[in-house]
Amino acid sequence: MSTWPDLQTSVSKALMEPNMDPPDGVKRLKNGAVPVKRFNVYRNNVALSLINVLRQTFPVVAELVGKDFFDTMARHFSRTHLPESPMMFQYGDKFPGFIKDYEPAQTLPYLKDVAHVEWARNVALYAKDQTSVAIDQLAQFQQDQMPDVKFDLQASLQLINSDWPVITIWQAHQGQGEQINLSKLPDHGQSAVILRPHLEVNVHQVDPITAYFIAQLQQGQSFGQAVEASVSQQTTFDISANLAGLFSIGAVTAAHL
Amino acid sequence: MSQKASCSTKPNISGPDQAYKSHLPKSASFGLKLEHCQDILTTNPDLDWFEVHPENYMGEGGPSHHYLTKIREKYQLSLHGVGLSIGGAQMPSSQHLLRLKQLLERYQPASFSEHLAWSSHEMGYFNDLLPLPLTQETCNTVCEHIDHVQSTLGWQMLLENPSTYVAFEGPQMDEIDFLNEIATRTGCGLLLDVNNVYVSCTNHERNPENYIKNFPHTHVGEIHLGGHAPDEDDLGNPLLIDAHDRQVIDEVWALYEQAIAIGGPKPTLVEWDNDVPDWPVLLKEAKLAQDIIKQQRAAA
Repeated sequence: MSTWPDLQTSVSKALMEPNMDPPDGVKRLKNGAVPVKRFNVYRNNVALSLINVLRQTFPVVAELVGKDFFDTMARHFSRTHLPESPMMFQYGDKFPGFIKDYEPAQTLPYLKDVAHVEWARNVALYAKDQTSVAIDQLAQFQQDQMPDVKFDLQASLQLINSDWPVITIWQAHQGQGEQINLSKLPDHGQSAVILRPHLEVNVHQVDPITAYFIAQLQQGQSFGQAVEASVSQQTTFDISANLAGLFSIGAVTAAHL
Repeated sequence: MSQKASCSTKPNISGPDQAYKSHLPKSASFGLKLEHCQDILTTNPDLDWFEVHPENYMGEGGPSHHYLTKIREKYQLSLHGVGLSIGGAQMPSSQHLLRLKQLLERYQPASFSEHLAWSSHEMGYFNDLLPLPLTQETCNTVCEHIDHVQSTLGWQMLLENPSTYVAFEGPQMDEIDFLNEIATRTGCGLLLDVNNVYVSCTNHERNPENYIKNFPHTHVGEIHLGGHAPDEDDLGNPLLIDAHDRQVIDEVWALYEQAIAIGGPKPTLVEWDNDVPDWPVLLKEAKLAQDIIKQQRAAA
């Protein structure tokens, strides 16, 4: 008779191996047979509950590929990626990366980026609550101080840069019942800022240079450094429009020297 | 049903072999879902308390905390954990205990409960309530875990009887003796899930009425009700699955009446976690339980 730690290890392994018999120590049926169907209730609970968590966190990915494809993909993922904690809202951070390498999804190269958008929204949903400030905060600084000003950005703020029109695809699946007309999809990549200034998560499609500019600020660069880097990327970079836009979406929680 | 959210007193660890004194109102309610919060806050249903899974409220911010804070201003709360893995061989995670402690301090609930089950292993978290053998070895392990949980949290907890689909080889303790020994040794209370009684007794060919009759009701701080899904095992015998996806069946209502006839009215919760209907359906189920509590009070 194995001790509980050993038996628990055997049960854990059998839960993740669909074709393995329930381990010794699990009570046999009256006819001496192994209780496969009974043990499968637990296997199903584990698999289906994790598939459901992923479906709730990645609803557009699920819509794009259909139920059967999604369930199979999510089942493969959950078998090799058990959650690390009981906080199910944290489950799925590695799902976009898994989709990228998942062979049957290779015909949908944008799928991993749609998953990135959905994961970013999920992270924003549970991020720390912070109050945004308005652009008039900048009135406290002299003109010559502006290049040295640093902005604290919303903890929920995340940037998306995709080679695909991923925001158009994501927006087409927001319950409006619209079908994407594939022939009318933009033929270029898209960037987005995802953040939660209040209770709702917002997805703002932006120019790639704007995403680049915000990335500089997020990495702790001063306003002047971020502008300089952005202008060197794109000489037409519109400083005042980008600054106003940053505040209008509620991205800034503090401005300081 | 007029007692609203007063500041609850933390249930202190009462010491071994004491009757559990619940701080939850002895009335019926249903499990709170985030999608129902806005409606509940505007319609103010005549309930005293709600129950939530703390694991859903362990993020730093966002709507979950926003709405639970508003609910807590009007109602008492019960935190019903699913992730401590008290029945596992390993000590419950210290990080998870810390998160629980923070939630208990933040929301000042009237009750904290967990399951006689395990869900975590070195491999990861299984997101299910898994079964353990009922032996003196596991009984000692669970007692150590509950002692640790209660002393870390500074909080007396309730332990819930499980729904199980398999049993284990070798001599097993009776489930009631097992739970009674844990409650007696650790001073924890018990959460009597009447649906789990019906599910497990059916699955293991035991008599549910006898189970209710023999249960140590003085330790019971809360009762759960819920729906289950019927299936069959490998030999074609009934196998009930604790799905929480439908209404409570008559047989389970009868067991509930039996339980409160013996133990008196208890805080009672209807659980509905999958295929969740609009909340008035949940309210209706809770009202059925409330009617039974009223009848029992009138008869007593």
